[in-house]
Amino acid sequence: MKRLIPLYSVLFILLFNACEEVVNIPLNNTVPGVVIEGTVTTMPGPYKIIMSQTTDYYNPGMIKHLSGALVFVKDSEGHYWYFQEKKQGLYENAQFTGTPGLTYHLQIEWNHHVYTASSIMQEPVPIDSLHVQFFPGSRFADAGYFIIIYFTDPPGLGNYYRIKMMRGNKTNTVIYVLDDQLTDGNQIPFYLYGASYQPGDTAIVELQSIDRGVYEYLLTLSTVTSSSQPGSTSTPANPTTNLSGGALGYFGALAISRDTLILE
Amino acid sequence: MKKTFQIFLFLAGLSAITGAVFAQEKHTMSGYVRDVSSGEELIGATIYTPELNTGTTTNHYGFYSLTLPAGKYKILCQYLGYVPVEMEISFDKDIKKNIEMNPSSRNLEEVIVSGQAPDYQVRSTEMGTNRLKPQDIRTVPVLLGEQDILKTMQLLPGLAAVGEGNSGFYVRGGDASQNLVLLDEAPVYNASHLLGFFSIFNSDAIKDVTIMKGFIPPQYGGRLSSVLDIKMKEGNNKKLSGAGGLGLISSHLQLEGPFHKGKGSFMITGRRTYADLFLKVLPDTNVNSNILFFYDFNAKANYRINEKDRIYLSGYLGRDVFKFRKYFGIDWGNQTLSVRWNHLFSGRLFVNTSLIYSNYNFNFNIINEENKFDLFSSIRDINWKEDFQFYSSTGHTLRFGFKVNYHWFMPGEVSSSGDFPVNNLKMETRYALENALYLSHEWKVSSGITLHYGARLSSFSMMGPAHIYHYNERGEVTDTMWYPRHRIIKTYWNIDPRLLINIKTSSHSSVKLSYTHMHQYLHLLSNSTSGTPLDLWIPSSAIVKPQTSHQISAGYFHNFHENSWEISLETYYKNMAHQIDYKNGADIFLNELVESQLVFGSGQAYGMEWLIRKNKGLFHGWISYTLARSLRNFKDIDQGKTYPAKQDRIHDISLVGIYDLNNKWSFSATWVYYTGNAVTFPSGKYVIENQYVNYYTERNGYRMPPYHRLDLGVTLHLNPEKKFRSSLNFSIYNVYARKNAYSISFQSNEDDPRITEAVKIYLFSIVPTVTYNFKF
Repeated sequence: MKRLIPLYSVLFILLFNACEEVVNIPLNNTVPGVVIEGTVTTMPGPYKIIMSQTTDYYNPGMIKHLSGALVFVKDSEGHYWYFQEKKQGLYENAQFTGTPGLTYHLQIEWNHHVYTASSIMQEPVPIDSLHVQFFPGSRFADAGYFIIIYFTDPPGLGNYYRIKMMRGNKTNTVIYVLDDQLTDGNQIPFYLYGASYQPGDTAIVELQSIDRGVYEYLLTLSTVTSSSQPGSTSTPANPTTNLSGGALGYFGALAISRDTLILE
Repeated sequence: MKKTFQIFLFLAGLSAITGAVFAQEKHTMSGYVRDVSSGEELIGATIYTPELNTGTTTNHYGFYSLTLPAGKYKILCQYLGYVPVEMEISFDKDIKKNIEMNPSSRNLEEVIVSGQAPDYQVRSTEMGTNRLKPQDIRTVPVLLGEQDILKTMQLLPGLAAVGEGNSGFYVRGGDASQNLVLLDEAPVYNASHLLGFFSIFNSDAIKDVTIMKGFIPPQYGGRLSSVLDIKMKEGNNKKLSGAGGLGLISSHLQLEGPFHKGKGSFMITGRRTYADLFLKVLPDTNVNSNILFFYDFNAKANYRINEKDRIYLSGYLGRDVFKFRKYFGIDWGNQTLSVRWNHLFSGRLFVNTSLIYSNYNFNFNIINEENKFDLFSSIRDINWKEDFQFYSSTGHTLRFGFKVNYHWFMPGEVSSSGDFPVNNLKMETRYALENALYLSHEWKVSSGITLHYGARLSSFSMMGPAHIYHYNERGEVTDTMWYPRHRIIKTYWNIDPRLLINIKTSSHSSVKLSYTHMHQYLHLLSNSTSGTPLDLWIPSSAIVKPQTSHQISAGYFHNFHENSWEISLETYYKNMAHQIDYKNGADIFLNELVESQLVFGSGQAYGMEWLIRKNKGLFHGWISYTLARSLRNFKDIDQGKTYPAKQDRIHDISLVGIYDLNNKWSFSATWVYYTGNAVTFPSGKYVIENQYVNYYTERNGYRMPPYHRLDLGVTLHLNPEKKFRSSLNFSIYNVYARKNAYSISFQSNEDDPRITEAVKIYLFSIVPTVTYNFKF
């Protein structure tokens, strides 16, 4: 239902030829905040936990990554895995694979602070099929093929999904998330607008079953990323994280189904 | 609470006694004040006797009643823009006297802006109140040629435009949903078309618009910030006449006339936009097959059964329609219907009975060959009101009455058929009963002091059938309760005292002080600032408490140069409780658990408003300046730090000048300047999933760039002396083409995603328009 809102902004552009212009808006400097991003999936690892910092908005330089953290993941059956720092701020472990039904707990100690999060691994939901449809192009988007994913939502409310698309090995930045509030138990065709493919492209589509905490994070994230569409007039805010300890970012247990389509 | 009520009862009792103690032989003169050419009743005209330095004003229906000790008096009837009427009246018995007034001609050396008595602002027991009439603003330049009384209203102090080209407004630091909009006494839930760019009020149909933002008399209630009271024209009861206009994006036509030998009259108006016709000429099939328009239809009729009884029937119907190719359509609109009956029990007791219906609904649908998806939401009201006005004796007017209002809230219903993978869903309808009882007393204590005080007792009950959810701290449902039909779930009782004191400091100046307490039982949830059709109204419940406000204000009013100049200075402080905002990432749309998505806090607003206005002369107009703050405090937002509300406008300046060169040409100019809205901008950024994410550190910690704009207009009256009069209006909106920001977004550069930048969207640069209007 969230998709209604951007459609509505089409109305607006139709009517008034709104113009865009880069402007200089002075912004305050900030005290750097800690950012944590990590996932455990049902696909083989290595799993990665990334620690970094925020920076001033107009700073064109690199993001600073944080070294020297003690990073653990624990599952609800009491297994512990230690994540080793492979390069600055990147912590990895390849010793385990996520199991649906278990809860995964992340614990990080860095610079006398402790950050924790937990996420429940869902059952993966299989992709029924992938289809392509040609879009002739308009003022708002170039011509090309876009992909429709079909999958069947298991009966019972409370399923959350994220769909991720890759062209070759390049991930599309659009964040597609949906719940089953209106579509519980149905076969769902989901139109992946926003990414068009040309003949010869290989499209990889991932259907990730996620828990509510991850869904809320990704949903709120999608409104404030640099690729999100302007025009939303609600007050922006930092995404709702599932991390405690004052860090930005999230930790997710993702149950993944994957399918590939080669456009001819 | 109890104490205020006692004081109120005491004062009400006192007024009755004073009436009795000073009883002596008195007689009443009563009747209507009307425009001689159209028969339209005039609202707010003064009937005055200089000998006793006392008088009265006409009410919303043009009725007046003046009781004086027996004797012979000179009676003066005044109304701006009309030739004053002077009469000798013997008060030796009760008399009925209808007064007809002649509009002062345009040919007169002096052009006079119409409306009210010349010294109304000094004398009246109104405060923080402004009044406009459509004919006063005909020559003010406008965007795309659409005369819009709400946009002109925004040029007055204390009212702030929601945004560029928007008809929505904020009053004294409150939000747009805290304004009660009444069209012939029917509440209007969404007063805008097309994302707020136009109001639903077609100027052709409007007789009088009053905004009350400070002292709000006890007969009004239900919203915190203001009452916008709009009266439709009654229709000319002397002859058939009409008016119309052709504009670039819309046309309108109005017709009015008498029936049954002038005992009744009617008025109908219609307006439709045709912006979508222009889309048709575009070669792009994605664009030219879209449909986009809105229309308004107003109709009103009244009939004088006899000198004591008169009935009115008025209705409004308006709709916005948008179809995006064959994919989907959205349409939304209001319908209102009011039936009213004026009855005179005597020359001193006037009663109005109203039955009112109001409906706002919204539809979204997708239709292709076999498949159908439909989303529907609405809010409906049925109202019964009784309003009495009793002119008890000289210097005393009592108003009392009650209101019974039944509300239906249909937050959303989804139905689909065919291949749509969507399940049917019907959100529970909510039912509520809102009642009010009020009493007010306007009392001329001495020649220098007038009091207007009273109270409004209101109740609000949310009723079954309903499932009511209880939540824990995290917003998760802990318990569900079922209430059967008509079972009361939660009732609130409140009493709102109101008080105004007018102290005349000289024959041309006064000081006014007022206190107003308000309650609001309906709350608007909307993800955007204004004007979206997806507005969702919810009733007060155990979780969502009624919003309340206390406002104190003080003002100084001065007229000089024989009332041709008016100045006013008002200052106010307003405290608001139980204000509503959303949790981060709140999902309010089609969510049964919507109450779990809300957070509650408080607000304060204070400010000063200056107005200098010239009402007479070839050159007339006004300068208004508002200096104000509006702050909010929510436990769950920014760790409870106080932050500026989005409508926090520190400076807001408007200049309006109209110059009537002769009876053919008039020129006009408006200039506005205001501080940018308080907004949330990122202070930093970080990386998630290899893309930049904005990092926010404080709510509304930044400002949009200041907004300013100059508009110019020229009106050419083609045949001012003829029966068929027409005029051409040329306007230029935003003459110096300032690129005022509509929004600013923070995003990665398209070519180099490592660079993040601020991008401004602006809607209009310079917009010239021509409009043709006629009248016969």
